[in-house]
Amino acid sequence: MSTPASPSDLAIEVLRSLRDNKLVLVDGPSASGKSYVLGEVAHLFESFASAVTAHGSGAPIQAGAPGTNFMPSPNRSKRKVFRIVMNQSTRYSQVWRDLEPEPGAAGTLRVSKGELWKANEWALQPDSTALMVIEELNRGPAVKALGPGIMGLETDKRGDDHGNEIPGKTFPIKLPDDHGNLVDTVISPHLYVVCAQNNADTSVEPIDSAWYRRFARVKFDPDPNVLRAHFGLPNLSDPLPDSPSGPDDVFRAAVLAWKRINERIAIGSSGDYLIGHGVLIRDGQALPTDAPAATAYVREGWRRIERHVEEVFYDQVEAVADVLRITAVPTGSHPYRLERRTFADIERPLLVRDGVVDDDAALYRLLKTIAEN
Amino acid sequence: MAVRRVIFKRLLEGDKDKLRREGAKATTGGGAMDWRFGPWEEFDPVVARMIPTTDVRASRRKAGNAWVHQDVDVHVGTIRSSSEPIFPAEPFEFWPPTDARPFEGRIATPYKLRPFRPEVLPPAGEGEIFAFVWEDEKGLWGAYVTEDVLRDPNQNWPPLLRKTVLDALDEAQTWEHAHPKSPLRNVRGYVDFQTGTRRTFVGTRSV
Repeated sequence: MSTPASPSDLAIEVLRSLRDNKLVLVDGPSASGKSYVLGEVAHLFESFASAVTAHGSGAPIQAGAPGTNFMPSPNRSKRKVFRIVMNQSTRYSQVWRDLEPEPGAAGTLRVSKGELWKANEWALQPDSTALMVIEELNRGPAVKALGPGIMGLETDKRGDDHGNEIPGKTFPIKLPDDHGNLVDTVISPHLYVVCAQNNADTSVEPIDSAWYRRFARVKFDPDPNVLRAHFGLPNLSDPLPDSPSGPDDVFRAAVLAWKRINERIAIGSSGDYLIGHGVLIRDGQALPTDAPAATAYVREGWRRIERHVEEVFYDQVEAVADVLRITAVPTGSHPYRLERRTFADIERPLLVRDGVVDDDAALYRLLKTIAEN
Repeated sequence: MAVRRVIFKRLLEGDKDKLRREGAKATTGGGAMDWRFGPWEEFDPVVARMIPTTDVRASRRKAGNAWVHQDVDVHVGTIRSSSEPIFPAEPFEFWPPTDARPFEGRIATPYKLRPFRPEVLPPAGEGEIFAFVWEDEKGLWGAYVTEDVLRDPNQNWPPLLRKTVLDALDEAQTWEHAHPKSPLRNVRGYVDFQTGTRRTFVGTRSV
């Protein structure tokens, strides 16, 4: 991945929280940059050095970017990142250690080597530290998959710097060794775990607040400033013209409309169901330099925003109409229409879009209408 | 590449002489032309971590009128010049103390090593000169470092390293200012980035 020349504020916040708490939960709405920032965190963690060899003139040993004050285990040079994406079928054996079928040997079992166990084994080595990244935490059976090991992961229940048990403090967890015998496993103080979740995801199993309390939390919110910076907009406050004179007008209309949609979702549903700024960013694609190309750029993102609204307010057409500001303006002045049709003698609302999003001028008018109402 | 630990030494005139006298002394053996680091009990653990491999070398010392031969364990590795990284690594040896100077380990024949060739010795006028030897993930590196570069605020030195070296040099120079007729002070030390530890020694003092 490409990362910014200097770490983002959110990446620094996550790393600082990991340094202080070792167990961190990153949560926020979809497309709010969780995975992007965790990618940056992983890159910074793995490539960090407090001092580096520099070739050429000047100081031959230089301070390792980005600094030492927020980096977990800054003095450890063997740094490695491990990853899991949780899903409905994630098992304890894939996280820690447990018996699992031996591939190609019917009826034979072996002891698994789960990713978190491997990360801890790595961190227990001298001069080593590990970062475990668990994506989509609440899309899998998190409580079951992490099991009793969650106790040993707590900051004050780890082992000492050499991986030894500290009497009266360390809470070793019981895991099978290679032969299947349960042995005490001490969690290294140099193992860090960061989990990401979208609070709007439906959990496979309920996760209670007592379980969550073990995590320090870093909240990600949709951020208009990210979009302002991405699109190079000088501000978001200039009035929108009736028709765009350049790409900036299109981008500003899209950002303001997206922002307005989120304001209505927060009222009609909850902050967990907002849609993040990432929905309007097309990573790896150069920014257009004229209005038609800018309209094409934002079109796909806008479709995703509308699909998201439909999903949040499933089967609530009038709520969708409110979020899209159809009912906030005089009839006929919005590109969309809310009509009443009869079905089985019952009057039902129907949202009529008439291909507005496909038409450049109509799409701009839609964005402007939503942004201003 | 992440730097793990660094040892450094201020080059006094005698140390520079050892480099410049290469032509006259090369055939007489290199022992007298070593750079010495002491107290050895302080440097030995750091050197052992930087250069864990040892090999037996024949050494000799004078006992009365006779030469006595003995085998000693020498830390052996390879080193490269950080300013000329394209050249291959060269053999590097860190010897234990001799009977005559039991408190100092030594880098053998530094004038033979690419980073410490007399030709690359910084010119006069850039302040004191230090020899740095450090270890990163790729192995050992060496370079001369001048006082000017150490004090230059635009250089991106690791704060721990810059402070360690300059604190020791400042103490030496304060003493030298107060004792202008006395010899310059020997300054040496190490920084271990993995443990955050550092030690410096000025003259016979630990600071």
